[in-house]
Amino acid sequence: MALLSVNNLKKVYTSRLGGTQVKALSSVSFTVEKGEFVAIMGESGSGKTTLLNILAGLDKPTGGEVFLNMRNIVTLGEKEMSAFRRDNLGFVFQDFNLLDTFSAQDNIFLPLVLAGKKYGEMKNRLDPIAQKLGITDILQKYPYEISGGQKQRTAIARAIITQPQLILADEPTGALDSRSSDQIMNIFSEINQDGQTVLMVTHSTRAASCASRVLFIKDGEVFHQIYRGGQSQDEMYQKISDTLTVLATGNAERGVTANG
Amino acid sequence: MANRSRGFYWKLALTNLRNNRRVYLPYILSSIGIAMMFYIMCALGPGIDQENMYGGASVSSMMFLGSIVIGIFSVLFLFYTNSFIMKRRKKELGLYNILGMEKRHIAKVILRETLMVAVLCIVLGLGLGILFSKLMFLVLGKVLGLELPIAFIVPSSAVISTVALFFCIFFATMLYNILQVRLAKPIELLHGGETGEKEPKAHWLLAVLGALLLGSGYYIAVTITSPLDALMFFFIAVILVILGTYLLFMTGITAMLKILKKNKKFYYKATHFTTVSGMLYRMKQNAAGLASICILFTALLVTVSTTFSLYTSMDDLIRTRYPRNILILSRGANDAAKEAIQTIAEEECEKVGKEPLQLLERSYWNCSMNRIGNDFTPLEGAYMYDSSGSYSTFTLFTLEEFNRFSGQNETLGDNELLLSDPRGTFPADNSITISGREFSIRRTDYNMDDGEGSAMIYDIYYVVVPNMETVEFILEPTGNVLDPLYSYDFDIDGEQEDIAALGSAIRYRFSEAFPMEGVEFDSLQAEDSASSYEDFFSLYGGLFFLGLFLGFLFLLGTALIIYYKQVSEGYEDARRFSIMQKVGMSHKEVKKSIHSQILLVFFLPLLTAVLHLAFAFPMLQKILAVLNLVNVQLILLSTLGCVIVFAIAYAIIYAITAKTYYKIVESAAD
Repeated sequence: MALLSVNNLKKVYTSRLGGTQVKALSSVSFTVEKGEFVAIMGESGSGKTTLLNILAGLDKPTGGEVFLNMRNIVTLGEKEMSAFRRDNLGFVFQDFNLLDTFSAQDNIFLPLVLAGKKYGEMKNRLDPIAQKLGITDILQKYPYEISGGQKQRTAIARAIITQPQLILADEPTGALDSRSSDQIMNIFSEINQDGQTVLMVTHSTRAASCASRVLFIKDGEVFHQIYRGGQSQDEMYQKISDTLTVLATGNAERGVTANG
Repeated sequence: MANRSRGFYWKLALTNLRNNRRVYLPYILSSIGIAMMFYIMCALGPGIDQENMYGGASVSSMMFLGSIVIGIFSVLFLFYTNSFIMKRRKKELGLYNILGMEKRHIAKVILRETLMVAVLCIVLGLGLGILFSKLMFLVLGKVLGLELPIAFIVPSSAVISTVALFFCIFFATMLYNILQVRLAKPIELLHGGETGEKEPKAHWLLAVLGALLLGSGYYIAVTITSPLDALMFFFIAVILVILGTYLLFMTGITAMLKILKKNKKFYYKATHFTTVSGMLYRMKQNAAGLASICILFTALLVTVSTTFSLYTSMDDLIRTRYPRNILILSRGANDAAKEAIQTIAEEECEKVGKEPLQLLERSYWNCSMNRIGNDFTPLEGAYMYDSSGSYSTFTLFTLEEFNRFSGQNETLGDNELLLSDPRGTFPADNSITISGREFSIRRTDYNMDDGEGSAMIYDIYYVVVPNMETVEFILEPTGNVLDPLYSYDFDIDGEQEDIAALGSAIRYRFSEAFPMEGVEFDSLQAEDSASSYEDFFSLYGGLFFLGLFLGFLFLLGTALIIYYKQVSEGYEDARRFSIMQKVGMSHKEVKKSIHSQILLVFFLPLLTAVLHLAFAFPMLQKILAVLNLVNVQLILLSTLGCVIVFAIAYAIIYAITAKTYYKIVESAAD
């Protein structure tokens, strides 16, 4: 059984006066297995962010189902969803979403504190993670005192400290320079190798090339997907970029490319 | 840039204000409110008719000091809110700088912005102040239903001082803002908004200073003996307490939060975690807001509870002043006169079918005394006393007379006096000298029910002497030995109208019946409690009016500052709570966290205000004693009642403004 399975997901936005309807997702279906690193690509307005918001339980779909660990999260109430989110999902955002009022350490602790964990346990969990992400020295600093890359590493630490089933990342390298981006992507690769399932939305080819599978969304549907298989990152990069060119020129056929 | 048209900076300034209306609107609103308050405080004083108002002179100088207090408050409050706005706008100003505006151009924009805000606030503040006081005069005049000894005027002095003060404050904030921009590098400006308020350090020195200021303010308030004579000390106490409150709120709360944060067990709990860090993060602004709320609320409690004590004591006061419904007093009445008075009173009672109850009929002498230590010297007239001593009055009864009207059975030795001292101001020693002769003192708790005496401001003692010879000895230096006072006081069972009717009937009979053969007296008067009720009310009416007026004003001020705090913080907190929701806080948990912040913020000013009031209580009690109010229990109960009622009002204001806060936070979080 897949860890995440999305069936026939639809989302229609209705303008406030009830006049025009905008279809953000027309019919999206895919599955993510445990331990996968999946990237979702698509142009602006293709419905990537809508999809991620629904997976995160921050938005409700118009139709369809989302099963995470065999639970349909679409039907969860607000309170259950919050608890579910806390226990099963980790988030990494483009603009970091760190709280200025907390030091880096307290930002990382936030979900654990909300879950009612003891200080000792939190500290035990944090130490190895901080070491791995190279943020041990900045733990006592405040977000406005550290660089963008450090902020994103702090945010990743916050996402993985709860040991979630799935990490959802929304353009995690969007606000970073290329060197910091590479660092961040290496970190994602590393944690994925440790067994962490990651679902990432991006339009950076470079970022997507780290994934084990890339889904392309166009006009609210999954249009194409590429499996990495045994390819190197550079080969993957080339392939993604070819696919994007095809997508942009509009004469591609639906399909799956897989190299074994 | 140099050749820009003149209108450019104005336009830019206006656009800036409009774009920042979220922070400027509450700022402007509260500035208007404070300007209005200051103007009203300045304007009420000159309108007081010092001749016709009870304690008029003291009250108008109190109003003057009150306006100074509000002035200091305005400076503190506006400076803090301004610095908060500047912090939020640094990014915007940094952007202008980077886009090519020189700092002097930014200064020009700031100058125009400040000018617009200042003119708006001063004009509206004055206008609303005048309108508000006119309205209050109308409404309260109607409610109290009496001729006020305070006139509605628009004194030019008040207008000028309001304009001058607020112009100066706004000018100073502008200088501060321009200096901030001048000193900062553009890159710092760009990041200014994000760094937010750095976690303030808990300056122990400032905390100690704050505690000292507050403590000395409290000390003065508790030890002051005569608040009206020492108005200056009263004023100093108020200023000390205000400054101490600000300092302690700023440093004390920070220190407290830091201690809480260090306690890991407490800090890392879902409800405390966000609360403590959130409050610590912007403590400076928070503290200023809280201290302002606390001070305005204290002012509210002090005025309202004093007024209310006075009001609830009205009946008590009237009963003290009129121990019986009908008071007849005659000077130098002979026996025939006494008999005629009795007959007339009895006949008039019979006509309306009432019986004189609790009749108190007695003869006595009043004697002015100059007192130095335990030595008393009788004076010829009330105003002839020696400034080296203090003035007091003896009301003398013979033992025989006292035993007759009181129904007691006392005996006295030759040089022994029986003393009733209702105000407890007589020397504690058991012997005194009068005109050099030594007397020993025995005390009695018997209530003399002396209305006239209760209205005296100076000390009055009721002294029972063994015999007529002693009376003559005491009165001899004054030269009017044979001039006793005769009083004939009684209650009747009836409504106010009955009492008033009987009073005027007796007065009418007195004017008709005399002169009568064989009857001799120097003066004769009949008072009734009902007709005097109105006189009495109008005597205190001015004070009621002022109390209600100021109470309403302070309530408005408190509400305004609370509103300001909620709105400005709502916009700040919105982003934080939206992040928390993304990390896994439910709506309910967000609300809970907000709630626990609000509770802390809610109780702190309230408790501190009550503490202030508790220390101000001895002082208030002394002021009320001058107004003849000595029933401490009643004052205490009235004050407690006011505290409860206004704590509820405070809670309601908080609940309403908290809704605004929730709305702001949630609309941004969704």
